[in-house]
Amino acid sequence: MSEKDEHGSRPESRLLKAVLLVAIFALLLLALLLIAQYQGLRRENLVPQHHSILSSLKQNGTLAPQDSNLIGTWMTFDYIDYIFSLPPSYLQNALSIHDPRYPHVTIEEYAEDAHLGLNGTLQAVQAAVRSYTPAQ
Amino acid sequence: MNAALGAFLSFLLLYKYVALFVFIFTSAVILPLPDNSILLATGAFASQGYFSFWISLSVALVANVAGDCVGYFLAKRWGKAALTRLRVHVPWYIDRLDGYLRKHPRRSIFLTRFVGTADALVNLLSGFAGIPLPMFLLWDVLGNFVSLFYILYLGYLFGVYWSNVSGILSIAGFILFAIVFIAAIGIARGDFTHFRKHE
Repeated sequence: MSEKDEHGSRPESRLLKAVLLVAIFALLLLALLLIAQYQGLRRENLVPQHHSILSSLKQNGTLAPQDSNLIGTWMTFDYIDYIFSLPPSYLQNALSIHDPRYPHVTIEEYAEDAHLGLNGTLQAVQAAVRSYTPAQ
Repeated sequence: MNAALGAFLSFLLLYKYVALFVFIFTSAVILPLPDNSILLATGAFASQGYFSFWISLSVALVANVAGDCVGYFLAKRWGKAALTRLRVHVPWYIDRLDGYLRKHPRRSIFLTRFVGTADALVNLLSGFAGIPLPMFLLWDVLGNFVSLFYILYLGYLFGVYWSNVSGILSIAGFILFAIVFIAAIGIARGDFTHFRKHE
């Protein structure tokens, strides 16, 4: 056990008190940061207004072709087909993909294996999705 | 989005629930993976119908509880023997935290399920302190259910814009960690015992 100083407290206890003060200060800073982030989301209208948990859980939605800028290189073709409601072979034909793993391959893996530029491939996928028109 | 998170998400899209189980289990054992971002993304995928919300919640819950049990059993089986073998002297503040956990196991286990790093430490301490398994499991399952539900549901609400809430969730996580950290220091200093004496 450590010796007590003239104030009757152990050195470890004083160290813990200092750490405690720093932690409380960090907590206040984080709270301010949280409020700032939340205000940012409100400004961008990204805080959704849902009536109840159960009713919102019943909502499923797909994306429109003009949302193709949301496509990322980490996405698989299968996922892109699904969220944009594309026919399974649409992107394969539009981009002349011969990878046997299609559609269970990511844009990044496909670009790397086909020795294509990543950004170029991403833009080609986005353009193909944008130009998709569903058959009537 | 950073490259590591992108790789994790690709793995999630390719292997779906198996990948979700692997991520959450590994993260629950102790490895620091971006599990909140992965859960938010899973919730977003569920909002699009690509994943099932309830299957995702069940898989994540089973994985998290299984991961927590690994820490608990390791500490219970080999914790004290390892400390004796390594000749590690348990510091007085760990002793006090251990005492607090023995006194209030329910609230300690339940509340720390919401704090990333703290829950892995409380799993180890619970095993070390000999908290009975049924009690550990009950509060672990309850805490994990609530914490996983709210993160998955946030991802579900924000859908494709899930990455916009990722930052806010990280800050909220740091705030919770700071609160638990401050409480742990308070317990270690004996502040709460001090207040009790004057009640």
